[in-house]
Amino acid sequence: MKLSRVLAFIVVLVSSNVAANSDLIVEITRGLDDPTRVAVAPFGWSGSYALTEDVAQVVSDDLIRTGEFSPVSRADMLAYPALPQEVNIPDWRKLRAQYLVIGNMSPRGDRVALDFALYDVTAGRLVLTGEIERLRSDLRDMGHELANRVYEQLTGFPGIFRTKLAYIRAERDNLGDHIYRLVVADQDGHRERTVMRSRDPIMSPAWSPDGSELAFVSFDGGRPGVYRQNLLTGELTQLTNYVGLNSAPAWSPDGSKLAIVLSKDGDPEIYLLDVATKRLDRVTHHYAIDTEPAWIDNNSLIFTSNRGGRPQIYKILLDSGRLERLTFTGDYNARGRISPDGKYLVMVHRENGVFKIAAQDLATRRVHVLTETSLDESPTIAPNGRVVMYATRDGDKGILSAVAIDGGVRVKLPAAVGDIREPAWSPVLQN
Amino acid sequence: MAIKSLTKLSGVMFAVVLAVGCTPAQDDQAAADAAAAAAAQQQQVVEKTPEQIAAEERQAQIDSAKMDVMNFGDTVFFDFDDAELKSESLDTLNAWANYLKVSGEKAVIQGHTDERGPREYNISLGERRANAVIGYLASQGVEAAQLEAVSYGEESPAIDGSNDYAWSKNRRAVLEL
Repeated sequence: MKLSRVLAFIVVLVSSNVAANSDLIVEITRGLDDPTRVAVAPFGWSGSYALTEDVAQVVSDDLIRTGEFSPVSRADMLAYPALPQEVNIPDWRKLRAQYLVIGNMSPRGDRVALDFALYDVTAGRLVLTGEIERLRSDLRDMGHELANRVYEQLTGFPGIFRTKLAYIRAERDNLGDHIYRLVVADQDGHRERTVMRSRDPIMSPAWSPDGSELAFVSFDGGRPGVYRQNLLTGELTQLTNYVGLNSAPAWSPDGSKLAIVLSKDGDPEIYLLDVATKRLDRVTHHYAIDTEPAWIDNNSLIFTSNRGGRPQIYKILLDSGRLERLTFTGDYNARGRISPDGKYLVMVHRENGVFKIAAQDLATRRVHVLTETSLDESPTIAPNGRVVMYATRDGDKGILSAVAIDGGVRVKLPAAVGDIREPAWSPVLQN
Repeated sequence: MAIKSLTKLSGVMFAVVLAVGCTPAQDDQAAADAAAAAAAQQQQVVEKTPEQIAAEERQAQIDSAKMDVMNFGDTVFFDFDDAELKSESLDTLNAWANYLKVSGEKAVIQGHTDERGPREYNISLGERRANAVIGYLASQGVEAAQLEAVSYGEESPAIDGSNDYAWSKNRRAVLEL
């Protein structure tokens, strides 16, 4: 699959009935040269009421947004089959579709059932069928679930369409004063919800491993503290309020600890806070800056330190305290994240004075620069390990962008309002 | 202090009234004594207590130190990814050190960075800058208890924009009473 550097097309995701509560618009700036052509026919509906979502469109948009697929436009379709007996494979071959998704929806009390089928048009055979049932109010989830199943069938990788993003939106009010919001939205930017709003900065959102909570830093009242907020109950708890820095929380994979950065003892150091007992253990001991912890597993962390003069990324084993420097290419590597398969270190990397997102192969130490913009920061990796989202600038606005971890596909998510920054990709969410 | 002065002042007026009330024929000596007493009292008013003098001198010092602080400003600037004080910042910091010493006031030192590099690293860098200022002020005799560092990293730029000028103005520490 070769890359095309010029291919650029725009997918506007919002349909009229949801445009009001969706601010992120997805724009594919670079797709695959030979994307798989997939047709998603409009789904049948036998209910007596009108549906609030076009579920087939949700499925199609999810697939297209990966950059790995290209759509067959509805206007070109010769028929809209909803049931297997209505599918005429030659119709789809004429449109050069490689795959076809059909679906038929029916009411089931306050729920809706979707029977779907996926055809390999080239081979002329049915490859996947199934049923998905959801509440009437959860039809976007229904579409994301079907997109997950289709994506996994066609690529072999788990889909990430039912994940969420947390990010910070900074705006100015009509007096020019800052307003900061901690926001959670679906990975496609829909169903955005403000978790916290403040006149003081909010930073560093981090998901708990079960996706039910966020830890973050708030300067509410003028000084920083680490907080946690339960997304289901809304319960907000302040975890730290030490003199100096209270920064960069990161949840351990088992959910029992938060790695945080405190400077209460003089210099920025990494500590582990036991969430249940509130016990605090110091991890690093150095007069340099030690910050930006991220977990590899329950016994090891990476972090940024300028103990060598410039920021570089180090790894520390928690039981033995053994320390290892990981980055050697370039004079500024920071804010690392490890891919779920443990193969890549994704980080902010300065190249020729410009800040980019790069992936370092941990086995070979080779560094691949993934982005072509400048001022790129805050990389976060999708739970399937395939996509890196990051914050960058577009003109004078902060926006989110995404790039395949192999550098193949690039997607922009410009926001309608304000500066968007510090994306944090949720784990795979249950229900 | 004010009440004490008032009492003294009324004493003088009483003495003057007494002096005016006496006829010259009655007792020249008595009149002269009263005038002398009044003069002595007057002298006492003009001659302030040592505490008063010290306080006034201190206030003058504070006022002049405050003028210096206002003249030299409340902001010092830094190089990229650097928390070392520049020599051109010393006039500002000396003015603040002097003011904080004579006034005993407390100051919050905000550390800021430009937008380049990760936000969490920049929060630490901002604290480094604030601490560099605090270290210098302490070396000039300001008490540690008067000083507090708060880092905002890149979250509160002084100037919006992604260019060298904006970055140079945003890499700063700001002293605040």
